[in-house]
This record gives sequence, structure tokens and C-alpha cells, in this order.
Amino acid sequence: MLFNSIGFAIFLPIVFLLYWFVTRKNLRLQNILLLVASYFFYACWDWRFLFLLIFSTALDYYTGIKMSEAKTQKLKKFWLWLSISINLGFLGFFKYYNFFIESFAAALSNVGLHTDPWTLQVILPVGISFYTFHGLSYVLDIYQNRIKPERNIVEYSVFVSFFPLLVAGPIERATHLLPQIKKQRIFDYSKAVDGLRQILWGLFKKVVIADNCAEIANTIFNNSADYGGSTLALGVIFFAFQIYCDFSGYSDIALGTARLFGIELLRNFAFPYFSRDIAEFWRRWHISLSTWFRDYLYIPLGGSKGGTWMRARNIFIIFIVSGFWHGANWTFIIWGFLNALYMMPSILSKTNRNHLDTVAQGRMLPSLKEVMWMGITFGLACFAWIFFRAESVGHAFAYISEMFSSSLFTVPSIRPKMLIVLVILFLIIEWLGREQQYAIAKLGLTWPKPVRWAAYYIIVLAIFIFGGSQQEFIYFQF
Amino acid sequence: MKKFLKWSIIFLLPVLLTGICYEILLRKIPNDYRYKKEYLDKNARKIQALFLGSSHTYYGINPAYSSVPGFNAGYVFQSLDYDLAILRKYEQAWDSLKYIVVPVDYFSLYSRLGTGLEAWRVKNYNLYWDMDMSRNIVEHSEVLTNSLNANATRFTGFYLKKNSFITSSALGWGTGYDSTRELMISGKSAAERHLAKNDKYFNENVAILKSIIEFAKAKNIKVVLITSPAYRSYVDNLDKQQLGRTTQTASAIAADYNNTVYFNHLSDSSFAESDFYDGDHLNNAGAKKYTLKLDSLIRTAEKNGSF
Repeated sequence: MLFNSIGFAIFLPIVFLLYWFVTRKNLRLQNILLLVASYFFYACWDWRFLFLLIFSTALDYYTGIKMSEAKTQKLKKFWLWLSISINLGFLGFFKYYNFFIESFAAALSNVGLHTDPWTLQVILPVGISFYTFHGLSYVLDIYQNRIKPERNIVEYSVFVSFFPLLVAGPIERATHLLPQIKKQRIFDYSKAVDGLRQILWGLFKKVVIADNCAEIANTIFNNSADYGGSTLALGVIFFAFQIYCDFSGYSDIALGTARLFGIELLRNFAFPYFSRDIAEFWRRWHISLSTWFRDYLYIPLGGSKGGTWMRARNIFIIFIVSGFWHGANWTFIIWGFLNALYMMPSILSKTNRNHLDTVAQGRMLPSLKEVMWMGITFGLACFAWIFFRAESVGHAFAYISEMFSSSLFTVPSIRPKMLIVLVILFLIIEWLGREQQYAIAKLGLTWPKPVRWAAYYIIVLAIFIFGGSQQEFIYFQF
Repeated sequence: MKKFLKWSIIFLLPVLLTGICYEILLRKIPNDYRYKKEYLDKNARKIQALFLGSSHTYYGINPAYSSVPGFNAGYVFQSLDYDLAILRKYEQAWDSLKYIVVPVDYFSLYSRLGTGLEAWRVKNYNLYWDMDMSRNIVEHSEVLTNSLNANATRFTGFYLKKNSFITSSALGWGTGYDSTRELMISGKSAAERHLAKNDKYFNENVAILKSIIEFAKAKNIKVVLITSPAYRSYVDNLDKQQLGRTTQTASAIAADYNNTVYFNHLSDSSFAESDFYDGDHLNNAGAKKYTLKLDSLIRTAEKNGSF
């Protein structure tokens, strides 16, 4: 069930009405409803993988309790590693089995040993990377005594599988979400309206910008040998907007939906294309994953404590692991490596925390210097996106080689004028709302209702008029 | 809470009401699907030759040149499961039907309308053929399957400019291809488009084809399997394995059933450049030539007792 589908448009109001009218006075019933709805939502993709989700939930619930009851540190560690190895085992099998087998066979082939790798037609369960990381953060937090284990299986299961975040995040933390699930929720009119507004904006980003950019980016990337440098450059830019609007649009819908149920999820995007350096970009892009890696990998590796070189090493480790998390392909690993490389100048010069505020804060327009740095950061991000989007490393290099040829200075053979206008309009709205949680968070709040509603109707109309062909959310494949 | 519901309903009501009115008005626009259904409702009992299949048949066979009363019930991207559904819909009405022409083209055994890029057409069978080909609610609505732009073009075209959206002849043949367009690039790109990503539907499609033949056999109707003529730019770019498996399967099925013959005209040299609209579709002249040829071949096959 996609967020931008009729199925979801029927499912959401039903769950919402049951939640606030039928189960409102009973927290336990409300949570059971959320759990049943979440499992139904997940089963709509493939009911068989529901058992994997339930098993993963039960495993972390049980090991969490066992860890807290462990009399010795050794026993506690045993339960932690049991959970980690089973969780990562499933993730590894479903996501990386073929990659490792094929890479191993290729490595053997390079030394003259030819094998017939035993690859499997493995279907990737939707959301496995996300709910596995949910569970891992929970057991790691218990191990480090940050939280007490949850003894209510229903509440814990809702934490893992709450439907707005189940298939593509944000990757939640038990410290943030569990207390909300355990507490009686009270309906708040302004928060619910805000939730609807964020859903509307998320739909606009996904249906109008991402899906239309996807059509152009797919055409160019799938037939890259037929195009000159300028068209290929355009293809990367459209992909950059596709992936941003696709994923942040999904996150907006997820956050807005959760808010309708009185639950606040972690923010996942904060206008990353307005960043002035790569460090700032990564503080604004897929925030829940970046902070996950920071807390559970970067800091345990020593973080910034061991001096500049150790920090640089740790940066490379987390970016390469992050690349690998996205998929079993060398393209993702190179994408991660490139981003780590981009970080190095600011890490070595200790300027990576220079831009903690919002660009041009309190001003309408940025300075020329800010425009230049935003342009450079966007360019670097786009260059790395080529590896992220390409089918193979060879494809990425061929793409780059043609893109930086003399044909870069020709007129692109694909010129989607209307889409370019839409993207520019979108960027203007994002710029105006860059200091808010999402671009239209404060849109017209002081305007008279008819004018404000007219603005919302224009967005609804734009969704119907410019809606591209329905494309699946990119991050479902991760 | 009540305030939230009240304002949500007030906000959504104009959107919903506009959508419902739009849906009703769009459904009232005459189209080829409804025309074909209404024609068969009235004339199925009189038809002796029925032509099914995708655009290759829709544009490539003109029943006006058939020696017996015929009707072209094919349409763009119509796959075998829809051919069978049309046959079954008029099960009690095929009193005069002598033969059914079913194309087994390069892609026929590998694709389905409901799962490809043209899946938006499924709603036409649900809405206008009165079939129930999909449980997806979206595929039972005009507004939800097409973008507002596409629907607006039809809406203004019919209600304001008084354009007709019927492109079929009285006998169901596609009349739009009256010239020769560019043949080389269109043939190559059609071949690429028709290349199967996998053979997921192959066995099911073969089973459906056999069901069509068995349905016909039970009613003493002959089945003519054809692979339609195409220009060399299309033929030369086809995957040999996919093509070979298709034609071998069609030949084997024809050999297995005594009410079935198979004609492979893919590389038929009697069709010249001027007979094609694009790389894989005949134009009006080509359709006339092909219908006459097919009619003659069927007559000969009947005389020879080939089926």
C-alpha cells in the first residue's frame, strides 16, 4: 500500500476514526488498533514477510528483557550479540547474499579459479533495513543502560511497526517513540491540521516533482550512451530532485500521518540542498540514519576523541557502511566513499561544524558567497548521485566520461520546460520555508481562511494536473 | 475533534464533488471500447469472423475486406486474457461464428495488459466492456487512472470542441494509420519495448491461448493463429530466443489442435515499405492487403482440410 494510493486514502481515515472515536478512552485498545493496522499495512505488500517482522520484533523484545535480567556482563553481552547476529543475519541474507557470493566468485576468477556461484532469487522484504535498525537501536540502548526494556509486547511491537514509519523510516529511537506510545494521546486540533498540511506537501513533492523528475532521469540514465554531456548533466540534476522529493516527500507524509495520531516522529530532512558544505548537507539529509550511525557506530569507534586521523578513519567507516546499507552494489559503496572524501577538508581543518544555523537566517536572500558554496555543495552531491543511480560502476564511469566531454557545452537534447518551471517554483517555496519544519508549515497561517484554503486547493490541483506516472518510493528498495 | 472533522469534510467536499461530476461526464464520452461492446451486443449472432488481439490486429485487419461478415474486437495492448474474456462474454451469442483470428506476436506470450506500462487501459474493459478484469478500485475509474491533463484534453475535446474520440471503423478496425511514418527508429524502439524482461507469464499465456482454442473447439469454431507482418527494422532487432520460442509454441499448439492453423507472416516479403505505418504496424493499404491475403489463406486451408 503506497502512501500515494487510493488504498491508503481509504485505509487512513478508517484507522483515524477508529482510533479517535472507538478506542480513544483505552490506551491499550488504541495500541492494539495501531498494531493491527500496521500489520495489515505491511501485509498489503507481502503477507509472508509479516512473519519475519513479527519474529524480529519478538527476538528484540525477548533479548531486551534477558539483557536486563542478566546477572553478569558476559551474559548480557551474549544476549546482545545473539540479537545483533540474528538481526544482521536476516538482513545479510535477504539483502547481501547474492552480492557476497558473486563478489567472491569474481575474486576467485581473478586468480584463475572459476566457480559457478550459487545465487538465489531472494526477494527483499520491504522495510527490512529500517525495522532491523529500529530493533538494533533498542537492544543497544538497553545494553548501554540508556533505557529499561519494554515489558509490554503490544507497546514494543507498535514501536517497531508503527505503519507510517514501517517501510521507509524515519528510523526511530526507543527513547523518543516508546514514551509516546506508552502515554495517553490527546487529540490536538492544530497538530492534526499541521499533520494534514505536511501530508499535502509530501504528496506534492512525491507526485509532482519526484515522479516527473523520475521520468526524465530514468530516460537519460537508461539510455545514457545516446545523450551528450549537457543532457547527462541535466539527468543527474533531475535525479537529485527526484531522490530528494521522493524520500523527503515520503518522510513528510509519514510525519504528518503520525501527527494525526498524536505521535511525533523524528525529523528526517531539513532542506539539504541549501547546505553550504557537505558536513551541513549530512546534518540535513536522512537525519535519522545519519544520527543512527553517529550514535551506534561513529561514537563506539571512538568518534572525535582520538584525534584528527582517527576521526577521519571513522568518517570513512560510517560513510562506507552507510553506502552498503543502501544496497548490495559497489556503486553504493563508492557513493559512500565519495561523501567521506568530501568531508575530509572540513574534518582536517576542523571546520565541519561551521554551519550549524540555517543559511541566510533572518534574511530573505543569501549572500553571493553563500550562493557559491550552496552551488558547490549541490554539485558535489550530484556527482556522488551518479554512482548512486548508475546500474554499475562501469555505467557510472561511462556516464561521467561522456558528461565531462565537450558536449557538456551544447544545448541539451531533452528540455522539459514545464518541469523546470515546477522545480524552480518548488525551490522558491522551499527557500521561503527553510526555517520551518517543512516548507509550508507556516504558509498563510496569518492569512484569512479563504485565501489560505485557496493556496491549499492550488496544491491539490497541481497534484492532479502535474501528477507524473506513479513510481514506487525509491527507499522501498532499501 | 468535531471541529477537525467538520473542516476536513468542508475542505474535501468540493474536491470530491468535482471528482464525481468529472467522472460521470468523462464516462459519457463515446469511445472505441464502448462502441465495440455495443456492436457485439447487437451483432454477435451474425458475425462469422472475429479478429482479436493488440494494435497489430486492430490496425492490421480490416473486416470490410473479409469474404464473410466479420468484426475486429482487437485493441491497443489487448492481451490474450482479454481476448478470452471477450469470447466468454458473448458465449451464448456466437451462433454464426466460423473462425477466430488470434495474433501470437513477438510479445503476446510474454506480456499482460494489466501489468505493463499500458495497465491504465484496464479500466476501459471494466467500465465500457462491462467486465470485471481487476479488483483494484483505481482501475474502475476514469479520474483516478489518467492524469488531469489527459482527461482535460478529452473533456474539452468532446464537450467544447465537439471532437469524436471514436477511431474505429464501423467494423472495429483502427482507421488512424493512413500514411507511412518513419520506419527505421520506430521499428528498433518497438523491438526494444517488446523485449520480455522475464518469462513470468509465458506458461499462463500459453494456457490462456489453449483455453481460447478449446472454447472455440467446443463450439465448432476454427482458430487462426497469426504472427503479423512487420518491417525489417523491427524484425532485425528482435531477440531470436524470444521470437523462436513464440513461433515454435504457436506451431506446436496448431499441430496439437485440429481446429487450429498457424500463419507466420512476420517477414512476409509481399509487404513493402508503403504498406507500413511504422516499424511494426501496417497502414490502411497494408491492412487491406493483409486482410485479403489472410482471407484467401483461410479459404484455402478450409478447402485443403487443414482445419
